[in-house]
Amino acid sequence: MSEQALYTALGIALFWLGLYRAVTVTSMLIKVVAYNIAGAGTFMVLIATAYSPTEPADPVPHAIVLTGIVVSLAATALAVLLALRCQREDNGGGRHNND
Amino acid sequence: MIPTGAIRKKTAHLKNRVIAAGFTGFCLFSIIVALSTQPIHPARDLVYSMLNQSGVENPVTAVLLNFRGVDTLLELVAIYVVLVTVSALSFNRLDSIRCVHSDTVLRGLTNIVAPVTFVIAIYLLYNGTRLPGGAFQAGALLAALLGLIAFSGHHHLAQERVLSRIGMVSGLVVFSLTGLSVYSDAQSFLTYPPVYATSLILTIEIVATVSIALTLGRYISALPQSQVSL
Repeated sequence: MSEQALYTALGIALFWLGLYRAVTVTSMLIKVVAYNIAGAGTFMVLIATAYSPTEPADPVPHAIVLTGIVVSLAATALAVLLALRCQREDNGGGRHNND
Repeated sequence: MIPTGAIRKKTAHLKNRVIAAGFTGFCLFSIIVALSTQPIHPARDLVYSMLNQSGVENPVTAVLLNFRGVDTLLELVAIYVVLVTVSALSFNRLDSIRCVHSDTVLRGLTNIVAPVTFVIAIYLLYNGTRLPGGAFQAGALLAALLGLIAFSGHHHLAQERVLSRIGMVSGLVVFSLTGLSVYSDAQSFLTYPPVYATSLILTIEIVATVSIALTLGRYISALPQSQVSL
């Protein structure tokens, strides 16, 4: 089995593993991290696809991954902030009711 | 009689197992499909044959900022749209970050790390035309530095509201204006003439680095500093 096949298989496994955790877990932070792991799996598959044993690597998937990393960071920041806002609203409401 | 909580727990457990079995099946199926097909590279030869006209030596930078410049422009739009939402949801104001965990160790570490990170970011940016590196790597590194500086209680130039906002939109504005300025005599949007390509790409990269660093740094400094338990 070549290195390329190994990395492709591991990337796909990582994607489904992250997706499974994201679907089943209830904690928001773990959900966000799980989606990030799924995204990392996708990037790994793309990078493995770019490799070729005889010719130089394909730059197009590399550029896509570079773009994807920044966009996934933006999406993560948004998701974490939304999750924190939800939690803060819940806690704040509960505390006010108790007082 | 079995309590309903136990039944619900058991059903949830069973549901998770069914999902896990389904996902394992999908996973094996996609691995088999992926490994039985050979990846094709339809655009690689095109990129390498046009590389000498792109103005840069690194093929990834050529794809990002010349051949598929529209994608990078749209990416800057995407992080800017997220920035607007993040600013609305932010826990800290940009110009007055209340520093909860300000301690001597963090401050000392920041004092040592900041200049080194700055130099490495400049090196990465400068490298982008020849070797792996460029605006995104340098921008991400500087953004991490901005987050560290903000949470260590130091004040820096990027916390000036007007300056920071100008920096954040500058990448988008300069990129669009460059694209429009070459939008003449039967050239399409963002098609640089090969003579000016290197200087245009370098200008865009420098401005995009500032823009990405400030925007991503704002994402980090928007997070609360205490009582985080999700």
